[in-house]
Parts: sequence; C-alpha cells; structure tokens
Amino acid sequence: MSDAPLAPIGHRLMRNGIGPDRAIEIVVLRFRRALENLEQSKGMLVEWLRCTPDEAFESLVAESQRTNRKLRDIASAHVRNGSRAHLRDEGSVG
Amino acid sequence: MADPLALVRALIADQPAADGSLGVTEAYLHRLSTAAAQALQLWGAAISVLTGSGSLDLLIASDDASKEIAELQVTLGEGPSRDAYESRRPVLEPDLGSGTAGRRWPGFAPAARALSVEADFALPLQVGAARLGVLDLYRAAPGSLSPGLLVLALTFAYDAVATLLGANEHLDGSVPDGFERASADLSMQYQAQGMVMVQLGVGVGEATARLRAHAYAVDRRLADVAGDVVARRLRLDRDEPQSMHRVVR
Repeated sequence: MSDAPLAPIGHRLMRNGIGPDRAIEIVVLRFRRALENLEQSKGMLVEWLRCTPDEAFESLVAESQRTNRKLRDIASAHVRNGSRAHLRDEGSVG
Repeated sequence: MADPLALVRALIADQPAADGSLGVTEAYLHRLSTAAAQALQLWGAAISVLTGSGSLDLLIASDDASKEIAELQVTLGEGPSRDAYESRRPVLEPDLGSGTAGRRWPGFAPAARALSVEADFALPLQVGAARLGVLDLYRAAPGSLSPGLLVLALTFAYDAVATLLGANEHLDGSVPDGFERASADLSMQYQAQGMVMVQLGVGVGEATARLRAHAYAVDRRLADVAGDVVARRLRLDRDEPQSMHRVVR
C-alpha cells in the first residue's frame, strides 16, 4: 500500500474503467484497512515486546525511520505475516 | 416541512456538545444520533461503518444501550443493519416480535427485545452504490415510522453520509476524520485482534472470530472484551472452548 493520496487513487481507478461508486468504496476500504493494520500491528508488538500501545507505536515509528519504509507498509506487513515469531527480530519483516 | 435538511441540521445544532475525546466527525455523528433519537421518538440510534475487511462495525451511538444493540448485531453477525448493508436497501422492521422477524434473525430479534427494542429501522449510508455504513434507528414500541418521520429519518441518513464523506460544511472546515481515526473502542478492538493473533498464533480473521465468539459465549460487549484483552485482564486460550478463559491479574 503506497502513501499516495487516496483521491488520486480513486481517479486512477476510474481511468481504468472502475465505476465511481466502486472507486469510492475501494478508496475508503484501503484507508480503513491501513488504520486497522496500524492498530493490529500495535497489538502484536504489545505482546511481543511486553509494552504499552503507545510504546508499540513509537517502536513502529522508529522502525519506519531506521528502514526508510512507510509506517503503513510496515504495519500491513506485520499483519500479513501474522503470528510468525521471526517478526520479533529486527529488520526481518516483510 | 419545507426543507427537511435544514430542519435536521437545526435539530443537530441544538444538541449539547459531545464528549471532547471524540474526533470532529464522530462528535457531529454523535449529536446526529441523539438528535435523530429525539426527533423520531426513538429508543436510540447507532451508526455503523464498514471496516477494512468489508464488514460492519459500530462507530457511534446515541447512548450506551444503543451501542449494545448495535454491537449485538456485530457479535451475532445478523440483524437489520447487516441486511441493509448487504442489500443496499432500507430494512424497516416494525415488529421484532413477529414470526417473520424471529425467523429472519433468530439470534438478534429475541436479544434486542430482551433489551426493550421492539422495532429496528436500518438505513444504508451510501453514495450511489458505494456503501459507507448503516444508520440504525431503534424503537421501544412496535409500529412503522409514519411517512413524515420516514422522510426525516432518511434526511438524517443523508446528512450522516455527507458527514462521513467530509462534505458537511458545518464542520468548520476541519479535516474530516471519520475514516482517519477509528473511535477509541474500535482502535482497542483492532489492538486486541493483534494481541490475540500473537497469543494464539493465528491470522487476523481467526483472531477476530475468536474475540467475537468469546464475547458471545460470556454474554459481554465485544468492546469490553477487547478492552480486557488490551488491559491484560483477559487472555484467550489456545485450545480451550471460548467460554473457558483465564483471568490474568
């Protein structure tokens, strides 16, 4: 999931023949999913690191800065990789 | 009623300010739900929105009891709001005690009646075919909405859509945050899903199902169960039936 603004994604979908109704749904779904992944990924870190949700968020931000990857990409990778224990080791996400 | 939208907005503007911890959009929707409850002589009202996985989750309710009814539909996976969302049409059930309602929602209908809700009018929130969520109107007495009240109800739904899309000029030009910030309850539910994923070594779908199954088995609100998981008061066990859980102190 890229950090491109969502409205342009909607326009691109429509240029590719997706109807405006479906394009709005897709844009909203993507947005929602990114937010949910962020919270889910915080929950996963809370378990792994035995920390608070706020500390989990700080650790996600730190990982984003260290690896130069977008926060939402890191979060969605965590969730996609589910419960794999190796996520715990630095830098092996994805 | 010359201009139902002007009337609806005046009714919303009359409502007291919502809890300061809510985002701008949520605060407006909370006042919308309390205004709808008053104007339509309801037991309560709730707004559910779609989630990233395409299902419905409660966003805001006029009061705690309505929140409970809306969550019941999420927990049970059935009810008028879900049907309205899936069919993209209003589902107007004037009598949850009727045989047809009981057959259509065997879990939800009796559970809602046990909480004193006898009628549920679920209006889809959508733009064209794009679905954003559902406005649920709960009533304590059976009976249909009069045509006048139905127009008003649809106008509340219209204003909720405008708000969710960030097109509501009554929001002082602030950044619309209905989809940028999940409400505190929803954030906690997602965090709980993440924790359960790790605790049980399962994917997000199963973690969500386990949380719902647990809430149902112990007859508690999903948001409360999620809150207990995040606060480490509750840990779901790997192989135990959902009703068997360890309380962590």
